[in-house]
Amino acid sequence: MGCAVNGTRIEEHHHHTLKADGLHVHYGSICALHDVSFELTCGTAVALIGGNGAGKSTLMKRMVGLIPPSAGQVVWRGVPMAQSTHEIAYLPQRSDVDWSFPLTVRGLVELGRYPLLGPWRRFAAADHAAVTRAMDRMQIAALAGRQIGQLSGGQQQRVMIARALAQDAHVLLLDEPFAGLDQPSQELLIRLLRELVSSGHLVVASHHDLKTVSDIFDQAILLNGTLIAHGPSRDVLTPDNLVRAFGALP
Amino acid sequence: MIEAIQDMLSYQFNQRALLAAVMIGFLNGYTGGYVVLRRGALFAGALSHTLFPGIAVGALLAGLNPYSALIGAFVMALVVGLGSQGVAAHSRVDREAVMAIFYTAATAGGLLVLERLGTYVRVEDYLFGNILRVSNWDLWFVFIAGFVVLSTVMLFQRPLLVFLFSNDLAASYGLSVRLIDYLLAALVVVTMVTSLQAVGALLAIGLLVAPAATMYLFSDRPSVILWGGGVAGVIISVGAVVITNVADLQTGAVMVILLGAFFLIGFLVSPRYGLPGSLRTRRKPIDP
Repeated sequence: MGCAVNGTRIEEHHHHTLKADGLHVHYGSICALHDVSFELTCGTAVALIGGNGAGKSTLMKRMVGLIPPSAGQVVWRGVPMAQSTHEIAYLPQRSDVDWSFPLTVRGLVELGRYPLLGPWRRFAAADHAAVTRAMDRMQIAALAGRQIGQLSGGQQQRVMIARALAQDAHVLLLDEPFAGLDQPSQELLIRLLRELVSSGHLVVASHHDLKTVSDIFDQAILLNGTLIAHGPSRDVLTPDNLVRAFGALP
Repeated sequence: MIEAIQDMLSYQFNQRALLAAVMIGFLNGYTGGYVVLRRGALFAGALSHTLFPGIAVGALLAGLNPYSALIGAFVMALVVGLGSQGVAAHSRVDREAVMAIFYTAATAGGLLVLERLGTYVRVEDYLFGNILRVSNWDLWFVFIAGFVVLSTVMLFQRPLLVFLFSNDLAASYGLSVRLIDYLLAALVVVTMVTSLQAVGALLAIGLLVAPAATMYLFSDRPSVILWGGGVAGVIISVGAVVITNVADLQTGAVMVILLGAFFLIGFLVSPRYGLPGSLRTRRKPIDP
């Protein structure tokens, strides 16, 4: 059934697909996203590439249901997504999160269980175990009692991913996960994301460092308000495509 | 000392005042936790300014009495609060600015109404509160309003927490951010209306925000901030009733001064989030 539920049932979920079909997003009279279609399969890492205002965040928010659709649909595991599902998690940019909020690391990861439990169901042993497992996978168990503002950028990113894992998310949509991270933090995060991909998760992340795209991501989606190209990273990042996406070679 | 307390408790109005202090203190301290976590003190403060014109309109329609005052204050806060939110959503002016315009206009209208009615002097109890004058009806009102507010926030604690932490996360969980926002604003209004008895319209925001804001200086756990705020609210409210009984002072004013001192002490001693923590060099985050 589930794809990559805490790293189990690997062989079952590699074929799950997330399909975007003719997505349009308008903010008033401004067209933020025009006719974007693609199909992604679990077990891959996909980079969203494009300049500022190319629609990377908009696309991710649209996919998770944060933005009301202007047109088009998102199809997850063969079913059109009518409302949000816990199987797809959106992780905002670190700068968009209130890190001074009085939550501990474990407290934040526990929020991931809420969509599964609803408002009233009791936090059972299985839920505590899922939280612990997610924290172990992201190597943040030692930070459990720490307030979330007292973490490094890399740790904060891993806490957010652990929250998504506790939520049993199959698909992770990450907004600029590497922004502002130092080299060792980046390397650790890349390693952990690759582990998630090999256990069957679909990882989609907006990314701005063109030099590292091919090392981290299997595929790339090039955006400029509309879809410029989608395919294996090396095939997508051609000079021609980059000029079409950025207006000039970045 | 014990004799003095026994003497105090022998009067029914003191018994009622203490019961009111316990209920109003807890309700405001606990609900105030949500205001602090929402960083909504400015909005709640603006809402508290609508209570006074609400009382005036209530008096205009049904004479100045506890019923008209409470209902008028409640309706006015809802109208101005929701109205500002609606206007802000459809213009580029932010909610707080719209609110400042609306509540000052409403207050000016309230002054004119009360002046015309000739009831300006008697309205003092509603401006500054007079807990020694609470009636049995007032106690029932506070009890029922408190029960509704507290059971709602406790039942929906999880969605509220997610909403307070991140609107985007709440929306991605399928929660209606706008609905939760309105619900919380309505609950805050009900809470402040209950505190009219104790501290009045002018001081209501202090009783609402100070207990939880002080707990916020000490804890990283929302539950501690909420419950701690409630308990602190009770202790200080009851303390103010006892002190004013001995010293013959305005209870509402003593309550809010005690709360101010409570917060100031918290700021001065809180090792992590108060002055000592801020003076200490910030500890560097550990390595990735």
